[in-house]
Amino acid sequence: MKKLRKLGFKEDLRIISMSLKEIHKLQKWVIPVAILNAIVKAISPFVNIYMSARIIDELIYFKDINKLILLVCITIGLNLFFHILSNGLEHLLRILRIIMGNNQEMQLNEKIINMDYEHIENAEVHSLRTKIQEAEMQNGGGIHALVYYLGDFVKGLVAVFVSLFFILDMFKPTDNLGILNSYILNVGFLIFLMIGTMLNMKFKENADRRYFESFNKLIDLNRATFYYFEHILNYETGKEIRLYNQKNLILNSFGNIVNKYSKLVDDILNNSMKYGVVNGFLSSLLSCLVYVFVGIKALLGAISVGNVMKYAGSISRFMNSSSDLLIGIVGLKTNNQYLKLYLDFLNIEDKMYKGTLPVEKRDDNEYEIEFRNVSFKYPGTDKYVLKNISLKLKIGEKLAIVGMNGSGKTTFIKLLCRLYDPDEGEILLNGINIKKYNYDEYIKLFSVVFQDFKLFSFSLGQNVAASVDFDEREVEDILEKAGFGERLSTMPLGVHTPLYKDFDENGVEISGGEAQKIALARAIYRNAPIIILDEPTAALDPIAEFEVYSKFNEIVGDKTTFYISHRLSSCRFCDEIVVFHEGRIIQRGTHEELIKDVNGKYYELWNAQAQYYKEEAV
Amino acid sequence: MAENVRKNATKYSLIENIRYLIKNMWIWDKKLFAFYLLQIPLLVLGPLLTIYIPKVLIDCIQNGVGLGEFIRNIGMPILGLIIVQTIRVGSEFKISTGGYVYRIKYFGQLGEKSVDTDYENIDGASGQDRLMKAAMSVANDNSGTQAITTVSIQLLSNIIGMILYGSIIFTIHPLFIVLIILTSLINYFLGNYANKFEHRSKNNLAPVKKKLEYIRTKAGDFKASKDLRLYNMVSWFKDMYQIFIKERINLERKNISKRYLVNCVDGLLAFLRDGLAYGYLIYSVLFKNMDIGDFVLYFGAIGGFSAWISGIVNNFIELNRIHLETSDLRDYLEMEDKMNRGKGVELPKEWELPCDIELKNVYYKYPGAEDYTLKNINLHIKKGEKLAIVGVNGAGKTTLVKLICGLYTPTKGEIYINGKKSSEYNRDEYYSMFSVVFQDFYLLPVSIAENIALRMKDEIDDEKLDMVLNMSGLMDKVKSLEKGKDTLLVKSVFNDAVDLSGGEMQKLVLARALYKDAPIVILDEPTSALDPIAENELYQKYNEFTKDKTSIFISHRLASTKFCDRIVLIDNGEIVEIGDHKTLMDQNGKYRKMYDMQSHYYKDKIGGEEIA
Repeated sequence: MKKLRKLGFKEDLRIISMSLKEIHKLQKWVIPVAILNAIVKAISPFVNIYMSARIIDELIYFKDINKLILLVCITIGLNLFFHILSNGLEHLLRILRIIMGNNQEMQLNEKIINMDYEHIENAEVHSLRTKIQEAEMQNGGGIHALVYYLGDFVKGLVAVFVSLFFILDMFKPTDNLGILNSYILNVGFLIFLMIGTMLNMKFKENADRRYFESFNKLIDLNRATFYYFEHILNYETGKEIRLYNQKNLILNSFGNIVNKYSKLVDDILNNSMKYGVVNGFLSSLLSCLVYVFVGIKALLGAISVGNVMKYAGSISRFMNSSSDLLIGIVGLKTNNQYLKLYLDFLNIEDKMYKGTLPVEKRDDNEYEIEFRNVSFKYPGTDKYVLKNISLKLKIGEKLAIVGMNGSGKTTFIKLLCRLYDPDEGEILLNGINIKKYNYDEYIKLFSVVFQDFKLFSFSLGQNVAASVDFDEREVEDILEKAGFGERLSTMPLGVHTPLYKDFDENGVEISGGEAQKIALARAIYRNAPIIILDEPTAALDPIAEFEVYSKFNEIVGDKTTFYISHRLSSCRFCDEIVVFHEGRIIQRGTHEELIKDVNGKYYELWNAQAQYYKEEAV
Repeated sequence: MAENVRKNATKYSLIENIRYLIKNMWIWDKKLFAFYLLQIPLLVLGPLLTIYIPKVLIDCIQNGVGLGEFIRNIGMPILGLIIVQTIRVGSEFKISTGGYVYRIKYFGQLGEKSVDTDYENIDGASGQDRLMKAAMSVANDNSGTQAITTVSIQLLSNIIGMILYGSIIFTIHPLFIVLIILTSLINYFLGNYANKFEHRSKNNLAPVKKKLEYIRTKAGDFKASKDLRLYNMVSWFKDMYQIFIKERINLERKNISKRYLVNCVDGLLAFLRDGLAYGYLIYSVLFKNMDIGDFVLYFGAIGGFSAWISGIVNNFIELNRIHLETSDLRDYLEMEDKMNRGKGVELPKEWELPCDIELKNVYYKYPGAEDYTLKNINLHIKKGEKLAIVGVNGAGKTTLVKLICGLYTPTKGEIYINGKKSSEYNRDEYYSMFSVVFQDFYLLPVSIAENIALRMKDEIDDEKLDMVLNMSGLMDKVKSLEKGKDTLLVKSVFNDAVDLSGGEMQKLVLARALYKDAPIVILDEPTSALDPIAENELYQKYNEFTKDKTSIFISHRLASTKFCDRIVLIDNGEIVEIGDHKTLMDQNGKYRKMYDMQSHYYKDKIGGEEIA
């Protein structure tokens, strides 16, 4: 992970203010409540400092019982008030932060779902997303930390001012001793304290910064550790671990990482201990000197006993709060590197041009798609994956797309659904470049079942309809069509049965083949005019596969269909076949036409499979 | 849930668990242990000096002592405080890293157990559950195994502090001690009530949190992104999310309001306590000649005493949580292996190969399941035979494989390898007889070479490695990479690693099986991600792979049965048909039906044929 530059002050402020704006969007009360909480926490210790001074002085000098009772009541009353207020704010803040955190997660997710697709297959974007998560989980960095450190900052700032306020009258000219004498002495002492405190702060700042820096190195190690953690905890990996005796390899590799980790931690430890000792010594030394100083003044009669406690307490608070203030500032600064990740992610640019032309709705499903001299390479690569593809698709046609792995079939589909735009050439819908159409409406034209489709652990019906509400009857009908009818009848809650067990305990496990049928049903339910199926029977057994093939026409009706498959038998019920090889279309025609060319790729692919089904004469 | 809590609680007691944890601290790092012990007096002395110094200060002032005497009186406690604080603050970091290192050791043990224990111990929902619970105790900084380090020090110092301060307060009026203990008890019971409430609501809260976590991860899953966009699923996810957020906030609010109530009662009790303390002490100063210095000291002591006691109360609550987590951990670490881990019968010698496999009356039922997944399996696989297993999804094929290769133990019946019962072999030696490729495969964040050989770099046989790279068809890909076979895998862990495509991964796991070169080869759907040419190549080479070995091939692609000696058809957990291809076709049963269905579209002429 590259070293994050030290950000300048202006940049620091910009990041913090942008992040605060985002937080406000996510939950508008978090910041105000956090600040209020900080102010209350800053003020409440002073109740005792001030009031106990008054009580002591009253006890020593005036001994007025009524006054004493009043003072005591005010003291314990104020304490109770602040206690209730502070706890209330603390709890309220907790709930608000939960809401803020949850909203942030959804905000990031929405960004992922809506961003240009090319970012989805970009490893850097993945990495950024992971880093944001790591920052939050392992380093406690991000917007939660911002709220936390902001609170520390405000608390420190307010407490510093309040304590200075209380100390100030220590410097009022007193009539007992020589005015000049005591004034210079006081100010001198205060300056001495401030220098001492600042020295202490400087040491602490260095220590904290070293600490944070080292923590960054830990992130890479953390990632590997986390991978092993998940790997080991996943029982599925256990099969191969045992059968291949991977134990030593895993434990050794993992052990190496742990050693590197420990070494790094030791380094951090040594630094921190040095600074810890200095810090502890300086702060306690200074505190004690305060006692001595204030004590001497009291011995000389310059201040009352009660005020001794007040000044001692206030100065002690002053030093603690300067420390809090510093922690807040250092925290805010170092946290900025994590906030930057978050802001960068939100600011990922969408460059895809999206037009506004509405897609004309046709009841006859007469949509014509044309690829004209389309070439494409994935962003950041040199190799062209599609080279000069030209193809006009007849309406209502069922087109089979075959070719070896890596020949460009799936990429072709991705361009068709406009997940990517071509680098050269254009794609046209009914004669108009698809870029000009409204993106969402264009997408609505397609029902796609990808090879790596995903089903979700909500109810079966919701999965088919891809929404919270659905038409029960229609879902049941379509599932029947897709060959899922029999399995459906075994499900206790019918189409309301949750899938898989990781969301709902009442969920049912479904096999790969069953999942494929549901994905098919989902594509049908959408009722789009163009259907794209990518390896839809790969996980199905022969019987299920045959079912799908025979009902194919029934399932897709008169929709334009693209069918990618390694199972070349499926080409038989398609109208036309297109053969991809190394990014180009090298053959096109019906099965009968292509099979005649014994030197062609299609023949080679077909034979590779069909040879095993040729029966010797029975 | 409550059931589990009680079960764990009886297996290991709180004392036993704490002793277990502390004993390990001592054994693993005696220096650190001593360091921790040192903290205890420091934690008591610090606060004590902090309330003592003001007293000295005020006494000096009240008595009008001279400067010199003042310095002498206050010098010692001040020096003491400086030393205590310096050491304490200096040690802070070491204490927290010490706790972390300690937790990682347990983590390591958890990992070792997971890769070593019987597969059946971790398989399935119940095994996973046990593992997850144990993982909670080592997962993060708040876990029990780390918390114990700080909680134990705090508890001891709290107890000492309580005794010390108690004796100070006793000299004022013993009733104060009673009063404070009473208020602390009230706090404890209230706190406990809030805890129990929270614990019970966990049953409701945990599933909601799990659902939220699911929605959060899935909606942001890059791999699901195509489907999410192309099916306009955003609003579906958002709507579900909002539903569950509301539920969560509702539940949290109830918890929090209970906590808040406890806080307020806390405050009221403190209010009463302080009021009484002030009242009595002021009375003592005014009418019983108590010094102001003592006033300040006693007031501080009363506050401090309450702090010690509430500290003890919190520590006990923490200890209870640590105890429960430790029980989960020990449950897992102390799981017994039922398979033979000791000396077993000798593995077949070279002249006894290939192996003969026989299953006699084998039945298998998953733990907690009602029905048998496999029933009445009787199968004799002869030496060097190539057997194909076919059947519809869910028929039990993969379960059968797991039984044969020793991951599962038969519920009834026996499995024999070369005439000896599988249970008589040493478990790990038994595993060495099998080269298996499952349908799901997992990579380690190490190099390609290490992922295939699954051994440390210096133990790898390069010649053999090259040979299997060629045989599996992965050599082309490896040659195209800059670092060749030393290229790291798993891009999400290392920036300079590569990700392999589905087909390439399938070739890699095949290479694994070939490298191991075991006498029994089992391949479960090894061509699902391969294109026709690559698939055909594998079939052609199959004889080469399985020369002089006994092999089992599971597949949907009935083409694969052509190069096998015999075929077994499994339906609903039973063997329904067995024989070679011609015999089964003549039988005109389920096999024939499946074969005809699959070959239908490959025929030269289609149409006119009735498929039953």
